[in-house]
Amino acid sequence: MDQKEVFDAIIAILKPFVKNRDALATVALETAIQKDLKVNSARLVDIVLEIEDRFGIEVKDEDAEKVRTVGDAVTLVLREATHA
Amino acid sequence: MRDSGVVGNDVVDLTDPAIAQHHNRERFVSRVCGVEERARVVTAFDLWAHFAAKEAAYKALVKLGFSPGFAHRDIRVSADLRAVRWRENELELSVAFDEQCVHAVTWSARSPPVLARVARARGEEGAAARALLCELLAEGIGGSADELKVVRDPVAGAWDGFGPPRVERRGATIEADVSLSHDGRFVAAAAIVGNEIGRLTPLRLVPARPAPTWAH
Repeated sequence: MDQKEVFDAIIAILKPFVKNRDALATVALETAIQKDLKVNSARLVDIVLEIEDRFGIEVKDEDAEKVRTVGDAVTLVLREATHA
Repeated sequence: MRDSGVVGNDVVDLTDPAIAQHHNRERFVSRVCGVEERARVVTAFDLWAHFAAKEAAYKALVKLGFSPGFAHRDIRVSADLRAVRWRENELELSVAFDEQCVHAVTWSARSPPVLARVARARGEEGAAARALLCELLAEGIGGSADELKVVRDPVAGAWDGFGPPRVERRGATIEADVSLSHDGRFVAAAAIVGNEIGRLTPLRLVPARPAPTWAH
């Protein structure tokens, strides 16, 4: 899986939880998941679980804490998928 | 660390259909709750009361200089919903609720009285929560809410680039620790006001059960 495929998959996962729909039009690696997309904290747990299911990886609490942007999520998935 | 105590609060809109069945999702509950807590999670209220308590505690713990991380399980809620513990640190807790929302407030021990309130959001949620906090503080310390302004200072590394909110009156920071929250149709605010301003008539939080008087 390359970065573009993971990026697209992450956006598909995020989409139902995004409150700022306008921000989706310009979403990029540097887009902040909570600040820009207005995803709330409860939905972050949903997103972590969906990422685990979609990519067959485990997202540790300490790794989830570091994810601020879409790019952070992509990097995390690429790293963990390599080890899976 | 503030000498006069810190406060954190979190509101959850229970009418959001997207979260109505999360209490039946084993993986979600297991990610959020520890073993003892899971046994208590039977209804949506049970789950979201615990979740809100943990989120409120997270906000207070960060202000105390801790880094709880994205580890809801590590923040433990007491069975009576009156205390939250993270490692060796304990915070007091109050959970108020009705059929539409649940509001959790945590604060450090020996704090001055806590002011807290929930309201339906009117307009943009962030602005509505800030307006609610100003109303709450104006009632607590006197004066007009129009004189108060909620400010967040830039902080590198914070989730949105800003630190916890503080309140200014005519440009001077009020000696108060404050917390904002919004979810769905609801906004919430909580505050601990320094003693030099205080001698307050506290707006008492409603105990965990039965239903609160702030219901709308």
